[in-house]
Amino acid sequence: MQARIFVLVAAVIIQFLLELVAGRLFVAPSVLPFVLVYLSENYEKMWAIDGAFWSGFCLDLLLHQPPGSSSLALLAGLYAAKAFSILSSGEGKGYLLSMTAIAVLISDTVFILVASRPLGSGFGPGLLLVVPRVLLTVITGALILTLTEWISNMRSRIVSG
Amino acid sequence: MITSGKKSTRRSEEKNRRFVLYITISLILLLFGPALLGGLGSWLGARFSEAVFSGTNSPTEDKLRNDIMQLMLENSILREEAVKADQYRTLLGITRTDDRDAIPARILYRSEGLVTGTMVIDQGRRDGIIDNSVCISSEGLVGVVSSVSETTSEILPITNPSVNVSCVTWPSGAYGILQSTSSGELNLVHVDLTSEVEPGDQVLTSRYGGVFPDGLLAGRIIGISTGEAGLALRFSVASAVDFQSTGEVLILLPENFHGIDAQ
Repeated sequence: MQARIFVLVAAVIIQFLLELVAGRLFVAPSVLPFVLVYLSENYEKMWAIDGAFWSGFCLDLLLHQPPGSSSLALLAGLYAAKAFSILSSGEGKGYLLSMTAIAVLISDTVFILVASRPLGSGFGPGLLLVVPRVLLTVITGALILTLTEWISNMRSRIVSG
Repeated sequence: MITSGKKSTRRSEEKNRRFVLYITISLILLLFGPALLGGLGSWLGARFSEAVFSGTNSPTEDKLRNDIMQLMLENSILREEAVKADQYRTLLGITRTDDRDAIPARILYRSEGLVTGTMVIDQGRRDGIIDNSVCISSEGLVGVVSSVSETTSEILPITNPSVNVSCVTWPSGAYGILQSTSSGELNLVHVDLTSEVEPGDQVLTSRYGGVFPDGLLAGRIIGISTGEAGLALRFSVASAVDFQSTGEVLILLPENFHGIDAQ
């Protein structure tokens, strides 16, 4: 449980730093939905829902965004990923990354719509930025998964013969 | 098996319930978040200031502290009033020494291009303002009324290139025309080559212009413009008026024009 909290707090901090640095240049990869999808698939789903709300709320406060907008977006993203997992079947890296892509796509779209003032005025060409964000997130997710897999392979005892 | 199934259903229900709860909280935060967080912040701030700054148990000390704060506030208001009173006294002095009728006005806003743009005042035809009235502030000459509507008027400042003012320097006594470049720099041009104008000399309106009454301070000489051959001198002038901060002005109506009844 503590490890999960640590991972989520680290994800919030990394997302915050990414938004400040990469977000200013072009778009930042959305690490938070990826972590939430990973946690919901590997641990309790209820826990991921709690995590989506609180991490979104913290991110809103850190980035001076309308409070509640990131929480709502992450919850919507998580719900969409869950719906995708019910409709399709699969497992492994590709499946997880597909769920992440769906989650990022929905959460970013919802975020742009609800965080803009007046509400919904963000609907326009600005929404196209979601596409490179989804791609960047999938690439980042793939890199993280490959790296962790490589590290765990290194640590595990190779049994042959 | 049945117990496990029930547990699973209960967990699923709990998950859905929590999901709906968080969605609702998010929506409430989205709609009322700034007010809620602002209220919470001000409440925390008040408790913090109570804990840190009002730590004395002596009511007399608290009362004295409150009195000091109130007096400081009153003092700042009085200082502002004193500055305004000084400006009004200067403007009143001008109206006493000049025969022209004067109407006090307040600048409502300035149009784009602060230097070469125009200023709009809150007095218009209804209040007796007419075209070519002169606008002054307690610091000096501001400009001339260029157009008048029913309740407002437009002032062309002297930094506008279309305004030329006949001026005389003091104490050197050289005559010239005060005009502005497109970038808003004031120059006194067509000044006699033999004149002995020094930096720091005052630039006053002369009696030759016809529009402006004589003796109004327009600016000060800050230097001679070099690099231009000719039969006349050209001096750089710093305007007496700070156009950005001027708020209250006096409109001097043209000579031999006495109020709205004369129209």
